[in-house]
Amino acid sequence: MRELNDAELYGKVQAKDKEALSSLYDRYEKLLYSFSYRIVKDGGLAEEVLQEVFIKLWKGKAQYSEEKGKFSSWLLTMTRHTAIDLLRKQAKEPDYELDERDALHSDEASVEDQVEWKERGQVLRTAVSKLKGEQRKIIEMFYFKGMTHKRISEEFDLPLGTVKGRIRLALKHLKTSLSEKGGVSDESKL
Amino acid sequence: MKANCEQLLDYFNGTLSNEERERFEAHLLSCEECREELKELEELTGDLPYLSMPEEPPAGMKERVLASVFESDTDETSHTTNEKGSVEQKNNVTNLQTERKSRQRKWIAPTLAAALFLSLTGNVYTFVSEGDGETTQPEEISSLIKAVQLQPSEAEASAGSAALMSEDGKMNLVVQVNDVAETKGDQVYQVWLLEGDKPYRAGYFTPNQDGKGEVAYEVEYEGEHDWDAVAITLEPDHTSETPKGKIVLSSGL
Repeated sequence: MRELNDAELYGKVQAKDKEALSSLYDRYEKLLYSFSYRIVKDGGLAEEVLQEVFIKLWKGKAQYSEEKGKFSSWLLTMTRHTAIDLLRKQAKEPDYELDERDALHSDEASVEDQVEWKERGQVLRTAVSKLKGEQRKIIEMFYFKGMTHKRISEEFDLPLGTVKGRIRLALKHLKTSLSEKGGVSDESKL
Repeated sequence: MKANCEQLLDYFNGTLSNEERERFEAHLLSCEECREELKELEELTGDLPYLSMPEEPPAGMKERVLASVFESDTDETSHTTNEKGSVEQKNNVTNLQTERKSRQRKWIAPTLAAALFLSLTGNVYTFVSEGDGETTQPEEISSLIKAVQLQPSEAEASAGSAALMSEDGKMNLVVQVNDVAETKGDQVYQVWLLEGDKPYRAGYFTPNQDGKGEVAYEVEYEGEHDWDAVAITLEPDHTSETPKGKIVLSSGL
């Protein structure tokens, strides 16, 4: 029997199939944990993020439908929101230091089990390393720390009206150097 | 730039309050620029999660997470008894794989049903049933009775949902499907409500070119009914009194 795809597993989860939830968990554990860890920078908190994400899935508090695009993208967005939320609840000032490892492009981090992830990450880190420090910082603060529009404007001493433009520009630069490397950005839409 | 448009970034990050978020979503409906910018942000950031360095999850995390997930579940799984224990239906309609009712039972937030209805405005059409038209007992005004995700019978990509709603004492079945195969000639997709092994017609539709289809049907079969399942079959035309084609999507109710 062929393996069920994500959407099919999700359908079974909605019908309260514990095995299906367990399969989805296995499929995404490492990616979601690593992504959460990247945001909250703490193992215990990252585990808490996963717990909340899977409770939302199980209890149907977050509803996926195909109009929302790929299941994995939806799940990653839900995870990011959950992580950002938890970070905000931590009350402490989020630290927004650059993750220097983003700009590494060595092979030192091997991902045996996730070849695609490894390749994509490799190309991404190369692209990130080409961004100006300021652009990396704004992506970090906006995307990985979920800082508010207002907060970013204060941090960068930018008028509110120009924040969005700066973020778009940084992201577009990133995309451009990605597509120069060829193909990766398109693959990501699979 | 309108004040609303300035909330796009915070909406994207999920940091708006519920009230703000709802207002912004309403704004999105009327602001094409925001819709496009949002789409662009999603595309531009789609790869970023893969920037995370792989981290090894701590030992035993799976057991801990899943345990707390299932513990969080108090009500739904507790009523596993099948009130109609005898209904191990062999629908002659089927290969309909009716799992035990309890496993299929799923209640969803009313917002989804509301969204379903919203998406239907404009092309809601109701069919007069062929039974002698006594309506069901009046019930409370407009409420979601039950909603289910429809499962494809085979390895098909199709998906869908069905919701039973009670409105002004009338029962409506709203069905919405995605990615179903095109119909040819007079073919239609017929929706059936099943009680035991007896199928009742419950509206039909032909999908659009994108494989999407939807129908809202006013259920007005005489007497009391306890629907066990909903199923969709592909029929040669819209006059089938019993299913002739195979089941495309179905779910227990």
